[in-house]
Amino acid sequence: MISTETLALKQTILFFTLSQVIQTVEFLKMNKFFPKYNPWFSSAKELLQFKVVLWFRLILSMSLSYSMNSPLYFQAVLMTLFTMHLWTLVKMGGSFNGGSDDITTQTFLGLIICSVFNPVAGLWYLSLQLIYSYFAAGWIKIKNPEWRSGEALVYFLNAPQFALTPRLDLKNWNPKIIQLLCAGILTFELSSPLTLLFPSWTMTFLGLAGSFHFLNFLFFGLNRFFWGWITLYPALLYCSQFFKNS
Amino acid sequence: MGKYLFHPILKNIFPNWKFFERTSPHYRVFYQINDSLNDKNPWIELDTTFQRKDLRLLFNEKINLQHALNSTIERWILKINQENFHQDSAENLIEFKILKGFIANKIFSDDANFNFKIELNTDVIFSSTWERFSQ
Repeated sequence: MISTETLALKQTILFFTLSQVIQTVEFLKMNKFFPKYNPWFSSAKELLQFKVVLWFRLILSMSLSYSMNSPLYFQAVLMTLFTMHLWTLVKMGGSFNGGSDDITTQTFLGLIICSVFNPVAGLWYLSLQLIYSYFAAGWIKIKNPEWRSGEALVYFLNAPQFALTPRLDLKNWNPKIIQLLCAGILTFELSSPLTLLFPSWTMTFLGLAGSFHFLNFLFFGLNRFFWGWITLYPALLYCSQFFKNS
Repeated sequence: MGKYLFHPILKNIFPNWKFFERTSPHYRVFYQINDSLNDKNPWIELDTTFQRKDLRLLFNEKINLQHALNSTIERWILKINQENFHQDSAENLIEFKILKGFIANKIFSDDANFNFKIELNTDVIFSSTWERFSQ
């Protein structure tokens, strides 16, 4: 019978494979928008080098799920993909897609801990990063009066540098409703540590979190965030049940 | 080179998860083409907006590229607005080179020179010298 940590690890790797394939294909497809030259590369040779690495990264990403049964091969694939991910970020001037680059790095680190040291330690690393990411985002917002009053939500949903057109205009909405929406977002983000204290709350929290990322995708186009964060949900589900089962 | 290589990696390994922290002033980017026929062409606004029709849950490269452009502009504005920042260095930053590349791809003539400016709340905060498209 398959153990719960193996199941959680397999599910995490499956989602991560999908997330890596999406990111790599996106990078490959971006070249069509640059008929003259790619702004991240100073020469055609450098761009060709990047494309070769991306094709190699795509093949390795697709083999990630299949390589789970062979620990040594899995470690080699994981380390190579991690190096390629960091190399891509350096080539992109340090950051391409902000938080989604960060969660990808954290997933690599968690999976490396799983494969090199101990699967349970790796799953805990991933869970704690997931909880901390929501909590830290909520903490910096609650300190900001613009978030407490609801102004920030109206701003971000209307900001041309963030929101998709046509935008959701909340300017004419009742300020009390907007404040309530902000309070809901802050409560949700700050409640993330409770998932470890109250395991029965975890499924509800993850349902809310998934819907929250899907709404971010709809309003801001953040698909990489959606796939990046749901990749870590099996780890949190496992860790929230850890003390109950042991 | 060391700073350029290691700082972004460290930032990724130790992320701060500060999303949508605070509202920022709205910027606009304009470019101007100088061709052999007319040396005073009008300013054209660089489109930095996102279209919902381009939205894809799987391969969303067009919108992610737009996000990358916008965050590049924001990072550059932050850097050049820092105290003690030497304005002559603005064009040496990696963000400037990326922005220049985006604009060069909007211009379809290899013979054209172009310059661009950034407005922050209608104030011009940066104006480039004339650039020529080159690989």
